[in-house]
Formats: sequence, C-alpha cells, structure tokens
Amino acid sequence: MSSRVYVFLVLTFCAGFILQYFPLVDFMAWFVPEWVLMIFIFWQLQAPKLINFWWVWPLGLLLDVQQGIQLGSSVVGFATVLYVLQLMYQRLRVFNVAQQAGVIFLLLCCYQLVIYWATMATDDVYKPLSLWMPALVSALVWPWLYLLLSNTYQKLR
Amino acid sequence: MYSETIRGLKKDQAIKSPIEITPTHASRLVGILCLSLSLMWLDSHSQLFKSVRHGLGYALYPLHQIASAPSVLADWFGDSAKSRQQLELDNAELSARNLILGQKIQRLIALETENIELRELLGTSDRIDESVIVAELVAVDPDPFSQQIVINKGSEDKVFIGQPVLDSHGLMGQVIDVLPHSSRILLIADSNHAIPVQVNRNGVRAIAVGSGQLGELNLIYVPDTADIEVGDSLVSSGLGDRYPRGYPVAKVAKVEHFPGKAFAVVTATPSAQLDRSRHMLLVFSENASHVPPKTLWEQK
Repeated sequence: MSSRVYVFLVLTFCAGFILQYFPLVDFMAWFVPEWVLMIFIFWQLQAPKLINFWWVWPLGLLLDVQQGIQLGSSVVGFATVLYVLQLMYQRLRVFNVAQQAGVIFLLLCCYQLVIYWATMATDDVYKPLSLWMPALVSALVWPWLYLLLSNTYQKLR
Repeated sequence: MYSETIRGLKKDQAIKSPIEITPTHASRLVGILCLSLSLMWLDSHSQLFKSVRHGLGYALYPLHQIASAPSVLADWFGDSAKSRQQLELDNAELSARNLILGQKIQRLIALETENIELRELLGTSDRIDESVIVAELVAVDPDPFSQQIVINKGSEDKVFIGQPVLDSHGLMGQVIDVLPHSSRILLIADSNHAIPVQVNRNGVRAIAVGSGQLGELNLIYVPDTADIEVGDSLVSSGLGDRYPRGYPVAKVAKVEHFPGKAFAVVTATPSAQLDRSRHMLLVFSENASHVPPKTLWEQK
C-alpha cells in the first residue's frame, strides 16, 4: 500500500466535506447527498483494512461541527453503518453498482433514522423526519461516485 | 447441521475474509454508541464541549474557504466587470441616499440629546450607544427544517453566543454557535425561535414565534381584544434580555378573530430581508446578555 493511496484517501474525505458544505440554491437543500458517509462506505468496501473503526470519531465529530448539530450524532450514525457494512461488505462487493445503490439507499435511511432517534433521545429540539430524500439522492449519485473513486484507486494502487 | 458446515468451511479456510465478524465487533459498536450518546447528551445539556467544537472549527476553516471560493470568485468577477455607466449610476444613487441619511442623522443627534436630557429629568439611566461590526453571509444551512445561516465573523472578532444580528431593515436573529472564523445564526423565522415584541403604535406586548417559513412570524397569546391592526410595526421590546430595545422586527400581515377562542391569530412579516441580505450587523451593547453569562463562574 503506497503512500499515494493514503494521500488519495485523505483527499477524498476533504472533497467530501467541501461538497457537503457547498452552497446550493434554496430548493436543492432537500437533496444534498451524504457525501462524507458515501466516501466512508466506499473505502469500507474497497480497502476495509485501510480505515478502521477509530475513523468514526474524527469524521463524525467534524461533520457535527460543520452542520451545527449535537456533537456525537453523526458518530452514532457512522458506527451503525460501519457495523452493518462489516456484516455484509463481501456480498456488497460482488453486487453491480445498481444493486449497490439500492443497498446504499437502505443504509442511508438507516443512518438518518438512527441519528433522528439519538437526537430525540438526548435533546428536546423538534425536527420533522426528512429521512428519505437525501438517502434517495445519495443512492442516485452512488454509481458515479463509486466508479470514479474505484477507477482512481485501482490506478494508484 | 448448518453450523457444522460453517465450522467445516472455516477449517478448510474456504472463506477467507480480512474482517470476520466477532463478538468484539458488536461490543465495540455498543461501546461507541454508548460513548457518543452520552457525548450528545452532555453537549446539549452543558457547555463542556464548546472548546472541542471550537478546535474542530479551525480544522474545517480551510475546507469551507475552498467550498465558498466559487461564489466569492463569481462575486469578485461580477464586481470588477461592472460597466462604468453602471458604476456611475450606483455612485449617484448612493450619494443621494447619503445626503438624505445625513439630514436625518442631524435631526437624530438633536433628538438623542433631548432624549438623554429628558431621561435625566426622569431619573432613569440613559441608553448606551451600541457599536456594531459588519459581517458577511457565507453559507445557508442545508437543513430545510431549520432557518440558520453562517457568517464570516467568529470568536476572533469577539462574537459571542446570544449576540443579536441585524440587517439594514430590522432584526435578523441571534448567534447560537461560535467558531474561530465563522458563527451560526438562528433566524427569527426558525420554529425554535421566539422574540418578545411590542406594537410601535401603542406599546402592546406580544411574543413573535418563528413559523419555520422565512416570510412569516406568529404572535402567540394575543388576547382577542388586544389593539393590533394589520400594518402595525412590531419592534423588539428588550424584555427577553437578549435583544436591544426598539429595533424593527416585523409588520403585522393578518389578524384573525375566532369567536369562542381566547386568543387572536396574528401573523406578521419580518422586516429584515431574511433570505436576501448578504451583509449584516452584529450588535455589541454594554448590557448584552452573554450565554453562558460572563459572571457564571465568578458567582460560584
């Protein structure tokens, strides 16, 4: 595993945070995909040994600060997604991208739901459940993101 | 039978996976969940982790700069590509407006001194002049259910949590989260926000609660007989100890009376251009309330 791969790894996460923050037109606010989580999932599929469960903390906390929500909420979501992925990532790897996108949709729904539960349990802020929109958009973006990242990764390796 | 097969497979190393799910994985998940849930609870109920948030803010700063680079560049390009004619027009308009404002200020100075004299006669303390800094909008919160914006001034510019924010038309909201170079503002239209107001015409007090939509505030607990009419302008009453007194907040848009109900349903339109203002003012007043109060630790 060359150092170039590590640089690429860090760069992809930086790009994820930039895209997550990217200013969009008002009505598009409903459709912002979960970029950082998707990149996390990609690395978990491609190189599960490269990132271990400790990564959940810095990524989750940074995401919380960026979105101005309670510290720790994204960590809950990331940890859950990581666990589910570790259960089934081998199956996911042999799927084609369309099937993968379906699984990603379910995973992201699960992510949002877990965060929603955690927020409700620990704070008394009222927020309606905007569960499936970002999940759906993320699933649509997934095939392109996956192909782009995996091609680059294969070249670098 | 099934488990036998699995065991057999394992012995033969037919399945060779880099990660095998073991009980450690599950207990690790439970561990992380417990830790982060308690972190969430602590974060929403105490100020302990403000410094962590602050530190992470430094890490995010360069990424945010990159993310907002395209719009900054577009703005810069738009400004520098303005035609000479347009600039001259702008200039003429601005100097005309400056003249009018200057004339108004002349009157204001006289009024202010008169006001101070009158207050001295009454024996009440005079209002202290408030200073402001100008901040620029850098991002709008992507969550459609919260009305929040991010500005480019942070703790390095002495911004504090609870600080009131205005634009040139009226009150916009308050600071709820401060990072080193940016801070997050809760707009008055957010459904988690409420501000004590009074009618400018007759001083009737009410509480304006955000509706979740940018163009609408609701006045709650307004008695059916209260003297509020469509077109009345609402100013901040300063009773919440958060906002300074006397800044325009909203204009009453609709008053509905339902016979048999104790309260009238009053909706108002915010005076500030919540969805259009790019520049806003952060107010520093002597008696502004800091959250947590500055004297919190001194008392103990």
